[in-house]
Amino acid sequence: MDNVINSIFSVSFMFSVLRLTTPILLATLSSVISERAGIGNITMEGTMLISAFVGVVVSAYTGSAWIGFIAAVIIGGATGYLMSYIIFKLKVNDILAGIAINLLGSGGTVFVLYALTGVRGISTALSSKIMPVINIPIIKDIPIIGEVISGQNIITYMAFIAAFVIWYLLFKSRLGLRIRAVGENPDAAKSVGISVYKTKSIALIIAGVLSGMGGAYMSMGYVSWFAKNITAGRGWIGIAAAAMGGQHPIWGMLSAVLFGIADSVANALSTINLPSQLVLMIPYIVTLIAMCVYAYYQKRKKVRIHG
Amino acid sequence: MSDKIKERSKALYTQEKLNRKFSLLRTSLAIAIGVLLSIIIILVVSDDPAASIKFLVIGPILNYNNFCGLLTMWIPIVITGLAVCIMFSANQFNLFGEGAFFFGGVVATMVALSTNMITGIHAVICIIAAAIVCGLIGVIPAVMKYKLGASEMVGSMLLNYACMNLGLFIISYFFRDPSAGTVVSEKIPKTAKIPTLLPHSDVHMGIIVAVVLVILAYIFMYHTRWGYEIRLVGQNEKFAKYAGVNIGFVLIGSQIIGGALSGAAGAMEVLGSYSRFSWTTLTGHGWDGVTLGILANRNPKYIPLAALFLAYLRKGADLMSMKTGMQTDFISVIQAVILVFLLAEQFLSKYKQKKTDELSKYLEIAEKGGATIG
Repeated sequence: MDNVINSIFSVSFMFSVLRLTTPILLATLSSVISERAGIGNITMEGTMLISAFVGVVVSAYTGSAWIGFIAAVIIGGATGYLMSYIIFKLKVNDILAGIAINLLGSGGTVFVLYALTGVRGISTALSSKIMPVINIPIIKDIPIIGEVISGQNIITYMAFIAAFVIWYLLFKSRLGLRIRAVGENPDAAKSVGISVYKTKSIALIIAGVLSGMGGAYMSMGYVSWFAKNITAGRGWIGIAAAAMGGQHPIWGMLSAVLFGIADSVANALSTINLPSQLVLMIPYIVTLIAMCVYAYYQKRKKVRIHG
Repeated sequence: MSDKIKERSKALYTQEKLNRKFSLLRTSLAIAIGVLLSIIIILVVSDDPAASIKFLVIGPILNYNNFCGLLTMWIPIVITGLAVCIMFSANQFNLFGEGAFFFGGVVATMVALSTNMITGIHAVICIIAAAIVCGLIGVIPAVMKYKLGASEMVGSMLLNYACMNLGLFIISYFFRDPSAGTVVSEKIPKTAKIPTLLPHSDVHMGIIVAVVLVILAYIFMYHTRWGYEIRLVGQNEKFAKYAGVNIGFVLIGSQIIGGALSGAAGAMEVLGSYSRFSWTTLTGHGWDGVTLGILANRNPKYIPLAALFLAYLRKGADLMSMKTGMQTDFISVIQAVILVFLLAEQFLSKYKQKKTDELSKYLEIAEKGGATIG
């Protein structure tokens, strides 16, 4: 037990929290911006899978991690646009459209992978690249903090910066005002000349780009290959984190860190002789409990206000 | 006066008929697009497209063995499809079917390996245990939604992953066969196996259970008060509330039934088609159920046909991959495409509008002229 406590309060534990938070945080931000635009977007899991896959394939064929990353982000945005086309032009219920896109992500990636490499379920046949690790000057020399913050994958920094960018975008920019307006009251927004379809589409594309970055991180940072269902529910955990953060980017970021901690605790526990399957359950169970607790307090708050 | 009412009821009837015809047209077109897309994918990817297409299109009915394989695939997805019908009818997007199917298999294996009973009863007890356990787990997202307002969809997805890991833990720590090379359970005792129905095949008695469940689910949804209440809550929760429906009972009840059905389906799959529990990941049967529920427009009546279509596609793809090395996962892509076209209100809407206009013009003329409508 001492081992566990030691490993939890260690520098490498804090380091792994940031590392494990990254994909969850990007999914969270993706969910936040969609929810703010009034769309029930559940495509994070599928989009992340598609982007993770495209990133690996493109980086393997071009030999450049950056081109792979950009391709992953573009395909993420394209998936966001596809979602907006399906729900606004074809008029499909957003949740059911999300189910379809998630199906596309889980089956389509495995299928195309096989068609390209002839290997089932894992991309080790492709020599794909990973995104660079950044050592921040000055900060890296500070004891403890430097060891935790410096030396992370570049996408990790992008994710945390993205939280503030999304905050600025939503609350300080014209576009953000429009996104929130169409989310809260589309009719009123329309009456002042805001194109609801265009604004919601932009929100979905941004959401897709964020999920795309999360997917690229999974296959080009967290690990260096693509495997069937590599995201393992992180998209769903992100949706839960966004709800817990009250659909606010900064609070959402903090909830995502909470789930990153749960993930890291699971990793730390796996060093002692606990069954790995039970350890793997921890992040999901923690998320479920956190969802309940948050929803309970939300409900109590509402009761207090109204009664 | 009475003539006018008659006219109007006739007009309503025709409009309804038009709607039904239209939804049939849309379903067939969506399926046709899906099949066409499969053929295009095969043409692009396969080394031997002619053989691949042959196996996909007529493979499942080519011989007795293949046909039995088709029926074996049909059994579990019919039941998960029914589960989704009932949950989605109440407008609850509970996706626990996937986890319940897996965990149902685990529970059935547990009970089968740790109890001794006579043939027949043993299997029934295993299935009932799986249904009860999965029904009770299905309560978790339902209560989260009803009592706390947390999304049942996100909750049920998280639960899927949790149940998968819990199930793998149970199998590998308590029921693992140490002599086997991979993580599989001990052999399921003969007494707990579901007997086969057709000779020299895997088609087990579960097929009868599936058919009975379809009939029961249809009667339940369309000819009982509870079924009516589920549909009413799904269509308009506020109205249902003012009409005196106990919303919590309906919402939670529908998800208990959904979880229990999916769990039973998983149990039957393991006891009917496997000699040991050997799943290492979620099986996709829950997602198939979602596709079927939507394909059947949430009506249990159409589930067998929709399931036949999907099982046919899957069996065809399986045969194709066995004979020509083509990968089967593209079926999920086809599923996604079919879903989108099925659900797209805009798809064919111009055509529908035209037909509706024609109908209303016709009715107008008919009313003016006092002519009867044939």
